Amino acid sequence: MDLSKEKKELTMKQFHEIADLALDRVTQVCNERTNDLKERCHDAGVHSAYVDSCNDALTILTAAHLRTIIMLFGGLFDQPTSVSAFEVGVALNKLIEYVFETQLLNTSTATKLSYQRRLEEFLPEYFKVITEKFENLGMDGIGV
Amino acid sequence: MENTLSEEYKRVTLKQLSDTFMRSLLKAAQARDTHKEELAQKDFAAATIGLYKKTTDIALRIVKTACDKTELIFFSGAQGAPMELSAYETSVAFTKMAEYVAEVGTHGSRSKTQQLIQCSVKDFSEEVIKGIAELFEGIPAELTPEENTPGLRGSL
Repeated sequence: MDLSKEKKELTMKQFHEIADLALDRVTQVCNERTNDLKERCHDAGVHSAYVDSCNDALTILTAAHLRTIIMLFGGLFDQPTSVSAFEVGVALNKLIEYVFETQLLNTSTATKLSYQRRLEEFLPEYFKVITEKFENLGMDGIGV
Repeated sequence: MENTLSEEYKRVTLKQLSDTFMRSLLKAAQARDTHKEELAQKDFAAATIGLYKKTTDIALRIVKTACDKTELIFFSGAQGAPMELSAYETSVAFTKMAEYVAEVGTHGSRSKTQQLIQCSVKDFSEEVIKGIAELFEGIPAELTPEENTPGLRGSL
């Protein structure tokens, strides 16, 4: 992952908006791909397994996403904090690892692998939005 | 990460976790000071002792920040109410926080310095994980076996 290390000052509210746009984008891509698969593949079992793994991967991503926001901003809604896209990337990845290691303890390896594949498929979309939005921010965070 | 810690969920307050972190950090800092004195007694060069002090200072700050962030992700918005946590879950969260803080906090440093800091972070983290294990062992089990069902839990 090659994310910018340039720090931008923004509030938790501003970051929340950016991160939510990134999550919305992933959800949108997820829906596009499941619809596309439905059209191309007529095996209901394959389609349903893909949809399930997408939904679970999205749940994992959402859990890590919310914790990332709390972790980076400490719940301080209006107090600006300096954050870089790189920091967001490292934090989100570490929290995804945390969710994997703690919440999916008794899940089969095959299922974990399918979640992992979905996450690998969708995470670049998440970071594309974060990067774009961060690039458009001024040093003082104006322009979100 | 190989799990040697209990996965049993217990009710823990922010104060209990915070005190545990504080005690563990204090122990880690004391062990660091003792080791620094030992280096001086063994006639290590001042530069070596200086480097040890500098890197362990940074490592202690990293571990302290990781403790703060662990408290934050578990107790954000629920200061007084106890949370259901396990020793395993708490230690994984703390370890991931330490990895995060070390990664973002040391980027740009020379790789040798980074390695030295990471080694100290690992040493100090062991003290914190030991503290977490002791904390959970000392709390009586209150949850029913049903409540303690492992796997997908509430917030996920």
